[in-house]
Amino acid sequence: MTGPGPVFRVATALDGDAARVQVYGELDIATGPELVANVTQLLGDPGKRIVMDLLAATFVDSSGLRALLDCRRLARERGVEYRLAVGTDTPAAKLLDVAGVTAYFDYEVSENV
Amino acid sequence: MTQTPLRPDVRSNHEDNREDARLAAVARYEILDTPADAIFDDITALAAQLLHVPVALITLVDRDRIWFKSHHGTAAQQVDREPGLCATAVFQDEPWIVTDALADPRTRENSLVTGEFGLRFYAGVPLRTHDGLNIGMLCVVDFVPRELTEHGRSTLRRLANLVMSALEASLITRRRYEAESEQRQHAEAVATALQRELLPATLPPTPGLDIEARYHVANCEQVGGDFYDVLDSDDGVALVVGDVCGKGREAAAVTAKARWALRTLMLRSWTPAGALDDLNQVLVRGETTPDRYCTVALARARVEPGGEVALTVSLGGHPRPLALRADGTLDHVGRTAPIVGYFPDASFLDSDVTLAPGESVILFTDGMLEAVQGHGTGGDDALVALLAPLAGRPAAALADHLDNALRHSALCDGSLHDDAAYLVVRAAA
Repeated sequence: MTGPGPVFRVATALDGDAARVQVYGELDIATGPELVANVTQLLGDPGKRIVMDLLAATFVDSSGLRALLDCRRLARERGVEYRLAVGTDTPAAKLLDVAGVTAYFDYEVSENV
Repeated sequence: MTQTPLRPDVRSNHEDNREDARLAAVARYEILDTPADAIFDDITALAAQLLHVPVALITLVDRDRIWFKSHHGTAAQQVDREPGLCATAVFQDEPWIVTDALADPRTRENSLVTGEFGLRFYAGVPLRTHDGLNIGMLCVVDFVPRELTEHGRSTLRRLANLVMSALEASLITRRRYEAESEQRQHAEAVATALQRELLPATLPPTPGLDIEARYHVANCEQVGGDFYDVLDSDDGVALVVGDVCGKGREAAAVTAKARWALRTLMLRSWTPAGALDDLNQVLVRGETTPDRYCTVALARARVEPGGEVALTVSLGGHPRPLALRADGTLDHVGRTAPIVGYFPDASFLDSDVTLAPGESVILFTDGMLEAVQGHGTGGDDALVALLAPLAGRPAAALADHLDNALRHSALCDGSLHDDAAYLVVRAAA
């Protein structure tokens, strides 16, 4: 069986109005609130853009989905563009698929091939 | 020495009251007749070492005895208040010191002095509570006469303070532990009561269907995640397995709302997708718990004249149920649709599937999937491999196998990560 998962970490890279939030490790009930707090800090003026990079998230559960939905709502309320980078067949992509919410998120343009 | 011994048998009312208060203080620490404790044994060992005496005691002066919490250098565990010297010393505010017991009028006729024990030297400092009551003594004893230096007195006083701190700390720890255990029991009782609201007490009779429901709680203090329901309606038997986002009281409220909304909808003609549409609106428009959604697998089962079961399945953000065929293959059932109770525009889809007699469908929550698959692995191949050899078996046999897999997973990981619920529904052969 698996041991304790990789440590959750959020790294934020800023480039002008664009912020890339990179999520490492497990996004679940324990770590979701931290992600939301991180994104809340980034939300400033309308016109900002946030990319939530979940390519390195090793596990995402329904509480992790809740965090992604919370960020989506917060971004919409402030008129901030909010896109996901999930790739294909990653834990995040699979969760969005099972939850039937894939169509409710925007995605980073470069991977929308 | 000019002090005279106090005689406990001649006491005024005032002294009686004071003694009652003192005895109450002794009882308050809940220490009488408790097992030995390293901290107190260390203190008496230190006292003997620092004062160069063979015997050191921590005593509590009870109503009719002097009980030793720690006894360094003697096997005795208690003595009677008469002849015990601590029973006298405990009524003094100052250290009570007898440098030569055979020469001291207070003690020269005491049986501990004249008898086999042969006490010659006694020095004791009262153990005083913060409200000024002496509950016992820290004392040292020798079998030869001795003097006690000012330094020795001060050492005894400091050690007596340590004893009191340790007594207070152990009392606080015990009280806190009791309070916590009381809270835990309360939480478990609340959880049980809630669970009764969230889950059916028994499954209704369902002719032609062999149904098993199982429910495992990861943490009984955090109730309210998963739910299931089985309900007989005019349109067929409703099978529900769901998972509310989050835990605790708010989640439990959503669970109850979802369960009873579905039960209400099924009083009239219903389809699974239609019922999820309605449930979505009920939850989206709910005001009490914003942003609380759930995932649901909802199936309607109708038993056909030949024993086949016509299933209609609708999913809301939920892992797809598995149909276990007669030949051991497993089919995913249902089409993906959004979580229920979050998006006002979500719509849901019905899928039809038929179970031949002996075939089963398994509806489960992601907690169950995760436990069987292993944390974070995704997919459902392990579950498929587990179920394939069980084709044709009764629902209870399938459920037992799933229970075993969960138990195994919980053993490996220490506990379940999440609640797990599942329904096994078999077309009775």
